[in-house]
Amino acid sequence: MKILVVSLLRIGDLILHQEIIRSIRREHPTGRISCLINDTVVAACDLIPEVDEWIIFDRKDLQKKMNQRQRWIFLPVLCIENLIHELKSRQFDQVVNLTHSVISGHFCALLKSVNTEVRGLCLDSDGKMIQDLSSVQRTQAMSYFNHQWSVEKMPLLHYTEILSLVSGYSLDHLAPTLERGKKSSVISFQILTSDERKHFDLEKWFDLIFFLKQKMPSFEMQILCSLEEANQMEKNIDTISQRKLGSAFQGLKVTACSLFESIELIQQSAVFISHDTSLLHLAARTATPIVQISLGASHIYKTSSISAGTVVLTARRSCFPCAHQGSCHLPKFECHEDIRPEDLLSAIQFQLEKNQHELLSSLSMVQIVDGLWWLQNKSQRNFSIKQALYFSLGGQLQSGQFSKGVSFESRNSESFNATIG
Amino acid sequence: MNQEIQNLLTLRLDELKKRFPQYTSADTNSNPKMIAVKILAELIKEQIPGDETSNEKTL
Repeated sequence: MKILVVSLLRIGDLILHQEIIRSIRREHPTGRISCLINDTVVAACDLIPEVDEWIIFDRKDLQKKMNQRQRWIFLPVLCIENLIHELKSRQFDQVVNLTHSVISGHFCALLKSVNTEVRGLCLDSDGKMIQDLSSVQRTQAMSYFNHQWSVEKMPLLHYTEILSLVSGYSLDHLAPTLERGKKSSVISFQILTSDERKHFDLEKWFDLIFFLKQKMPSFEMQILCSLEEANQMEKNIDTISQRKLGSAFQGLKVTACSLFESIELIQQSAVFISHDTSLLHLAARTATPIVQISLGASHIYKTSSISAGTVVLTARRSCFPCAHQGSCHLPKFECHEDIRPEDLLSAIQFQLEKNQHELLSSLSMVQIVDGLWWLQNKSQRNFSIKQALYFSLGGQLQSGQFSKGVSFESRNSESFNATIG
Repeated sequence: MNQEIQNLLTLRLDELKKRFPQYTSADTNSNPKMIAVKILAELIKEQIPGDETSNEKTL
């Protein structure tokens, strides 16, 4: 069995796609899994051992060439055509498109044949979806994905769940795959993202670190960043240290690391705090407690950490979450005001001490969701999200405390079927 | 993105239409070259800010 997985998005998406890839591997233990990815995510390949072969789409390189006046337009066309021929020559038995985009839809259209089944998006010449008639459930799921899920503010399903339904590969075995390191006294942060709407400004982070230093002097603080971000981060810390109480930042470590190295560092942390980033999704593989901050275009129901027990702090503005593409229509990112450093401090303390009472009494402005635990508890999917919160935080929450959660009356497969049916 | 590059990308799209006029027509799904042109057109569109037809993320 030769299977092609199409994953033409970013690193965070690829890491989420791994859950489906694992499922494919379980179902086809001796099959050959190839994966088509963008050239921008090659750094994540080592993290996904289930894939036998990586096929690279030189998206960034092609786009760069199109920005150069002297470049000939036939060459990029030829490059893509060659890739198409290469893909076709492999004669895959199945193509699983985990990328709901026009480009992936075009690729899949050409690969579809009598001998090659395509699961997921496939587009015809007019750009319309080609229906997958071999499975009613997958067809319904695709219809829901395309017409409702993409625009819903509170969809019934997480991104990984909808991909599971669209592809027909189940998520029954979701669980941390990495052991927790020895008990640590390091608190790790990932504080930058690729989208400024999704992350706090640095001042706010340093206010938090200042609080943490006061409240938890025995803990070391560590900022994780990529090699490219390291210099800028050091400069920012110097600038802010000079303006604020510099001593609070003594010993604050900036660790530049690769994705692969970051896993070990997260494993060895007492708690990991992150925005919606690829590291957040990597951290979900470990058993390290996570605090997630969801701002701007970061969608709590669609792309939160799939790690059970994650504490998610979210904005509450009516415009939150904003569209993935585009920019904020307000003069400043007002949703960032919804979460205070004090709230983060409480969430971190909760994850370290599991002191539920203190957490709830201190959080007045933010919503908190205790992870997407239902992904791991399929047998209990009849709980609503309110009940999920109630359940996972020990049954002591008051109803009505979570305005978004209350409207989730039933997050179960029956209501999903009713919706997409 | 500066205006010069935006203009260049718009010219690139026009050039694609001129060189491969059939790429926007129906029944091109079995033609690798036309699919390649469509994909390249998408790669160009997604770099042009505010282009409503650019749609890398979702349909």
